[in-house]
Amino acid sequence: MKLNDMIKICLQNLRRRKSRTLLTVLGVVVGCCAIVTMLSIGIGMQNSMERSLAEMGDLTLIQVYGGGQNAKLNDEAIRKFENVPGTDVVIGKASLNNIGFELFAGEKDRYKMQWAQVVGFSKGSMEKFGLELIEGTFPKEPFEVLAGQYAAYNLMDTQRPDGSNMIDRWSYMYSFEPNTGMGTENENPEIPDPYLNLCNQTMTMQMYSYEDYDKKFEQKIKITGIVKEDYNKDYATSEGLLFMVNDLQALQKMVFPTSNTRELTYDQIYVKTTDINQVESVENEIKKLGYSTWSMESIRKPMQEEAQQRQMMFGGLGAVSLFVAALGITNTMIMSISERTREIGVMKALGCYLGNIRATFLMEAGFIGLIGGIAGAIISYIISLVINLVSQKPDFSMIEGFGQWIQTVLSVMMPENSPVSIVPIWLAGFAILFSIVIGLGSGFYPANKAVHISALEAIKRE
Amino acid sequence: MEETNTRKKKVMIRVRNLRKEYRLKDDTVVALKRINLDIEQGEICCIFGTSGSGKSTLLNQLAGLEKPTFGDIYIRGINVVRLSERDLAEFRQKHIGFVFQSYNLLPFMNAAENVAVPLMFRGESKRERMKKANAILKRVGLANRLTHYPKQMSGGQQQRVGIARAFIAHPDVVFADEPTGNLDSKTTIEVMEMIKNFARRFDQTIVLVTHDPELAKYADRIVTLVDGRIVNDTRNDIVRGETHEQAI
Repeated sequence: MKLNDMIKICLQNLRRRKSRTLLTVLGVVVGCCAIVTMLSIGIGMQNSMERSLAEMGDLTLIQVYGGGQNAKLNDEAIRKFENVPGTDVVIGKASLNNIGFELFAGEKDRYKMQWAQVVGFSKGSMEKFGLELIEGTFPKEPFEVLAGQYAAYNLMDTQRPDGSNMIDRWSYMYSFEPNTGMGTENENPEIPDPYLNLCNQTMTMQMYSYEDYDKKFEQKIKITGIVKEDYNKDYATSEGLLFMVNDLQALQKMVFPTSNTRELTYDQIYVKTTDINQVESVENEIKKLGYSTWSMESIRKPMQEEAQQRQMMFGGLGAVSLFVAALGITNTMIMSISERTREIGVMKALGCYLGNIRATFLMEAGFIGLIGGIAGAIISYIISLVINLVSQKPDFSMIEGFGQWIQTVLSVMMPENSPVSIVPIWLAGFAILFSIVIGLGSGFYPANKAVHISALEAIKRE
Repeated sequence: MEETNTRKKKVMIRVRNLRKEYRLKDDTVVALKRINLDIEQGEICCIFGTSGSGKSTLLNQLAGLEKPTFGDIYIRGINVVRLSERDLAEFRQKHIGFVFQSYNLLPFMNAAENVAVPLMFRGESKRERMKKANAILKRVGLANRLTHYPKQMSGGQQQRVGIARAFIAHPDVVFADEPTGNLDSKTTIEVMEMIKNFARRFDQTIVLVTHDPELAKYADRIVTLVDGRIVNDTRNDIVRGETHEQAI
C-alpha cells in the first residue's frame, strides 16, 4: 500500500467520527497547553533570575585572589589561567604604587586634573573585558589610554577663580535639603558639558614619588576613547584613566629606576569564561593552582538549581494532563477498532499487509497527537500573551490604533521586559513533537490489537 | 472420471487429509474430518450443505483465513497452510478474490474506490486502479453509480460492486460465501449469472458455498458436506454445457 493511500484512509476514518476525534484532540490540546504554559512560566522565572544576576555583575567573570608565595598575581599566573580549558580571556588589573601625579590638558596647560583613578589592563584585555566605548577607539600604541565617562569633570580651569573653576556634576544630579543636608536623586538631570572633551586629547602627566615630592617626571599620554561608566568593571570607568599595563610598568620604572628588580604584580586578576556553564570547572582548576576565587556562580548555582526544581515540578503537572490525554487517545482508538472489526477483517481477507494495518492505526493516533500539538502550541502562545498582558499591566490608555496595539503586545512579550511566561520556538516545537510521540505511543496497543483481528471476522454473519 | 480429468487443464485447488478441530472448554468439536478434494481450473465448484455441515469451515481453510489442525491445501501448487502471514497476504492479493454474503464494502469509500481496494493493497497508483475500477463497474452495469457510497445503494447493487472487487485483480480463485443470501430471487439470478460470466471469460475457478439448492444449479460440480465429511460429489454437466454454448 502506498503511503498517501494510508494517510487518506486514516484521515477518512478520523473524519467519520468527527465529534469523538475532536474531543480526543481537545484532550491533547489541554495537555499540551498545560505543559507548555507551565514550562513557559518556569523559563520566564529563570530568565528574570538570570537578568537580575547579570545586573549584579558579569556572570562569566571569576575574580582571582592571590595566596602567598606560590600563588602570586603575576604574568605567569595569567599565562597559567589562559591555559585552563573554558577560559575566554584573562584580565590583569594593576595600579601605580607610591606615585602621585597631576595631569594637564588644553592650550598652555589651561586645564589641570589633580586626581584620577588609574588602572592598568593587561594587553588586549580591555575589549574582552566588556568595556563599552562611548566614543573613540581602544588604545593600541604605547601611552594611549581611555578615559572614564565622567573623568573630564575632574578638570580644573586654572583661569577661573577658586570656587568656580570646576563643574560639580553631583550638584546637578542631586538636590540637597538645605536644613538636613539629605540628598535626593534628580530625574533626568541636565549636566553641563565638561570644559573639555577628553577624547583625542593629549595630556601631560606630571609624576612624583611619594618619597620625594620635588622631583618631577613627565610623560605625554593620548586619550583615544571615552569608556562607559560601569562600577562592576572598575571605578576608573567613571572618573579615571585606563592604561595598558606595560605603560604603567614603564611609568613605575621612570619614577623608581633603581627598584627595577621588583616584578610587576597585579592587584586583581579576572578570568572570563567562554560561557556560564564553564564557570564552575574553570574555578575549580584555578583553585587547584593555589588561588582563591569568587564569582557569581556561588549565587547563581543554588538559584538555578531551585529554578530547575520548580520547572520540573511545573512540567510534571503539565505532563500529568498530557498523560490523561494519552489515555484518551488509546480509549478512542480501541473504541474505533472494535467498531471496525469487520472492516479490518475484510481488509485482511482482501490481502492487506499487517504492516499496513498497523501503520494506518498508528498514523491515526499520531494525527490526533499532531493536530492536538499544533493547536496546543498556538493556544499556548495566546495563553502566554494573556498572562504577560495581565501581569505587566501595560498602559492601554496610550494605545490608539492597531499598530500601537501590536507594539505594546510585542514589548510585553520581549524578554528584556522580564515577562512572566516565555514560549521559545524550541518549546513549541518540542510540544508538537512530544504530542506526536504521545499519540503514537498511545496508538501502539490499539494498533497491535487491530493487527490481531482475524480475517474470519469478514465471514462472520450477523 | 479419468476422461474428465484429462479433458480439463490442471488442478487449481488440491486438498489432502484436511482436518479441523475446535477446542472448546473440555470438549473437542471436529468440524472437518479428512477432506480430500481436487478442484480444477475453470471449475465452478459448489460446496453444499446445511448449517453445521462444515461447509463454511472448509471455505475458511481453503481461503487461508484459518489454519487447519491437520492436512494440506495447495492452490496453484503452493501449500497455503505453510505460508507466513505476510506471504499469505501477498498470495491473497495476487490469486484470491472474495464475494461475501453481506457484501462487506468499506463504508467510507465510494463504489469505485471499494472496487479498487485490492489494487490499492498491491500498491498500484490511484490513477491506474481507478481506471480499471471504473471499467469493471461499467461491466457490472453500475456506470452511473461510480461515486455512490455503499449506504446509497441497494443490496443487489452492493453485491455487484462486491463482485467487481472480487474480479478486478484477475484472481485464479474466487471464493463466494452465500453470495446471494441477502438478495431476492430476481437479483440472485443476476448476481449468479454475473459471477459465472466473469469466471468463464478468464477461466477462473469459483468456490461457491451455499445451503441453497437453487444456487447449486449454477455450479459445474456439487460437493455435498454432512458432518464434516464429503458425502456426495456430482458433476452438473448439463448446466456447464449450456453455459458453455452461451459463452461461445
